[in-house]
Amino acid sequence: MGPSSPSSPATGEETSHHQSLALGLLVRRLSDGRRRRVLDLGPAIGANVAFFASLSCRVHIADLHQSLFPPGGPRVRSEARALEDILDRDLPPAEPFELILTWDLFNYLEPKNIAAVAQRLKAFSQVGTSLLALISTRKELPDRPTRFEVHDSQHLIYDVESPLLRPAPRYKEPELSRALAGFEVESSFLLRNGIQEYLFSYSGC
Amino acid sequence: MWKKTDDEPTISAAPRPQSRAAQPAAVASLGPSIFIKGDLTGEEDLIIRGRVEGEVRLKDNNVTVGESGKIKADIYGKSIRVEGQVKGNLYGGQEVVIRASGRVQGNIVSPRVTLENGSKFKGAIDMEPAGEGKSSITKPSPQIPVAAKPGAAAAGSKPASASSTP
Repeated sequence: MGPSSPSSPATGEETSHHQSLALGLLVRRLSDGRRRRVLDLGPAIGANVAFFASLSCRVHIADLHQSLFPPGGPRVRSEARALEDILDRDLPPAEPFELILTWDLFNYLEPKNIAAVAQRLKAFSQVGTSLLALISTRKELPDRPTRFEVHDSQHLIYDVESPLLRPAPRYKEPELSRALAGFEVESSFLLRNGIQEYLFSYSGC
Repeated sequence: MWKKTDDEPTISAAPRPQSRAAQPAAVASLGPSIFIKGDLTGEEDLIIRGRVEGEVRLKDNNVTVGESGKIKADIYGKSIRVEGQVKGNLYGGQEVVIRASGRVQGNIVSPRVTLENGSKFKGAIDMEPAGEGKSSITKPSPQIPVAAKPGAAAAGSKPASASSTP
């Protein structure tokens, strides 16, 4: 692991961290001891599984990152057909989840593909299902999705796996809301490190 | 039933004996050229370096899928370690460990689950088996030094602003 500092993940540093207000909000919500189901679209990370298991959550890992951005493969597989194939293969059988973790995936998808993912996610949502998205507000971001690891109930550690940068789409709330039809922005937190955390809630519409 | 061959790696590649009794248990081994289609049962620890399609039932013993192992089956074991590939569900009475080289597609049910950095896993993880209380959480392996990451415990970036809608 490289040096760490509480700075931007887009600066090419290998490891960094930030205080996550959205995570803190989620943890308060999940701390009532009820058994819940979490759909994690990111890679399998032991710390994350352990953290959510400690909150009595059953975690399903879809690891779309691995499929959409295979090592040594094209940087972004955003073709609609490829995306549909991947979603068919990687998403679990339809069942409702209380929390969906998308991490920074949407930074790497065009709005039409975010909409395609959101359309699929409706099958895994029920009214009130929370969706966490981390959107870059910087001009550039790593050319591959970042591995976000829960450090504690208020902090995320992230490993930037590639030193290469690419332009960031810098999605704003209206664009995201349009793409994520059926999900409404419940809370958003603009952080100084160039990440805006969004918590969406599924409205069922 | 299982014949250990001389040219296989030493027992050091086998599961770490952390949970074993003082008297070491016998460890059987399936070599890389072995392909079994059918169910596997027994009462000794097993290292699988070959291919198995069926069900592996060694509920009271340790099962290790070696790096060359390719399993298309559900695995029941006391402790299950995966260094190779598994397509199936893993039921570990004590623990399931996916090593860095491990590739698993299926579900894991075990009170302790460790995913090493670099491992690949797709599926559900249930760490609270029926009939038990709160899960015993396994911290990530030493290769995922969460707590050791410098500066991790310090305050992170302060929020520039926070808003809540509506």
